[in-house]
Amino acid sequence: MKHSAADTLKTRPTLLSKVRRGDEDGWSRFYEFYEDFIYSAARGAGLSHEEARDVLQETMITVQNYVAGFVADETRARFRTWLKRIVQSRIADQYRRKRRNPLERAADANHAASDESVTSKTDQIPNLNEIELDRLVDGKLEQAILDEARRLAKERVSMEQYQAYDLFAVQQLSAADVAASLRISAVTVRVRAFRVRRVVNRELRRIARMLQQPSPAGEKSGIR
Amino acid sequence: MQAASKIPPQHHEAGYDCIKEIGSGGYGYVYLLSSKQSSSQPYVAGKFVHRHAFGFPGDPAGGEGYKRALEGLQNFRSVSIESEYLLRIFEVRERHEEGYFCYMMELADDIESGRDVNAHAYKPRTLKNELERSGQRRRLPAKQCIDTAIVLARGLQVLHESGFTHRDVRPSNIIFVDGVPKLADIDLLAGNDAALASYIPKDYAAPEGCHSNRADIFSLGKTIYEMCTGLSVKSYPCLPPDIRHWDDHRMMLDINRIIAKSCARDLRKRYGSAREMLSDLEGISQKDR
Repeated sequence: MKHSAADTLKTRPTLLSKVRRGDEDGWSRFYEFYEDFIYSAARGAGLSHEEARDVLQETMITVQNYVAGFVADETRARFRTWLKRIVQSRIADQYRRKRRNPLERAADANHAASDESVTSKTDQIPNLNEIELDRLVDGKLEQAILDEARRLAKERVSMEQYQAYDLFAVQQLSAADVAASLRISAVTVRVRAFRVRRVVNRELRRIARMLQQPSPAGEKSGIR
Repeated sequence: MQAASKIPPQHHEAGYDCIKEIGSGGYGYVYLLSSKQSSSQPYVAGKFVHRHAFGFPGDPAGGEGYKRALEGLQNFRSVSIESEYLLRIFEVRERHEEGYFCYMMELADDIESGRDVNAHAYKPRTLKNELERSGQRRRLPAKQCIDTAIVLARGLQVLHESGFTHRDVRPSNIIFVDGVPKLADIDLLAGNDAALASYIPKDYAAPEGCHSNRADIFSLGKTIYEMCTGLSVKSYPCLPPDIRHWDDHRMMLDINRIIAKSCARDLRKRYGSAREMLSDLEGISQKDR
């Protein structure tokens, strides 16, 4: 059985030191938490499934090789920033590799010739500037953190509360539609959604502390 | 623990012809067998459980696990004969010198043709296959969910009251036999102890672990959730956004309450027994009449 997300986060304060020591359990927990974020960032940058898997593997290898030298303090990079830079570099490496691969170039050329409206992926590399890549990776990490906070919130609230929150705040149904969906009043919908949002925000702050980053603003107010 | 070893298909059991592999579980592989003896059961499912799946040769803990699995199975066999809600085991064969035991059991219906089995095209009708029949996930109508859940809860009740826990309740381990849903993959039945490791995926596993009757109830709740919503267990407890437009919306919400009580993380809020859960499910069914 895999470790639960709660498990992973409970141990986070010591996770980095475990990874530094090369602790096998700590490493597998680290991998589980960051796997989806790294993969989806690579996919979001336009890489294929296989290339994104390579980015994941190479990022993990880099972390493994250099994490012992990482020092978290006010004057140097936070772990989050450090990891982000590695992911960005590995994505850029994949693009450089594609550019050097003659087969890949030929395939891209054929693809571009068959559909002139589509820019080949190789040609897209210069367009993916550092700011965009930074924004993309940042966005994926924010989403991964929000998903994690919601997963943890699910374990702390009742199923009825979470269902109201999900339909209202995540699926963006109106309070009236959620009320009709769950056969409760619109006021109850708002109250339940508000309570869950409070738990989600608390989890977001906790994760932020663990990732050594400023507290996020949290989710917007549930009162629409 | 090692991965389950595959028994080569050419390893025939007397009285049966091995046709093809049709499934696998944590401790072994299941084959479609044709029976040379019985005309009423021309096909059966044969599961081969290898000693090596429990640990390295000579490992005493592995040997104990293997022994307990066999004992559990033999005890289950006598219970299964008495109940129409449990999967029937026809025979158990011990082949310890060759490193395995095997058992012959009821074959699941074919996903397309039911009991009219075409051996080479056969695909078992499991609840998982049923929910993914059209190549994409779908939900079952509320009435069908209730009927299926009632039969499964009855099976679970018999199992629990006979001193067993299942420990791996999920859609891929529920098969239909002559249209009746039954709990399959019964290798882990060894009484209410934690001697055998369970392979249950974490999304179906109760937070306190899977070695209790109430953990089975938790897993059944998650299974009913998938049946009712058509969503993956990973989406639990979210509901489809269009649920308010469903014809059976009201009944779905009644089932939703039972799911909530089955899957409560706090044991004090969860059903105490399959019998309690069954009573609530039957209450919904009667209300519908």
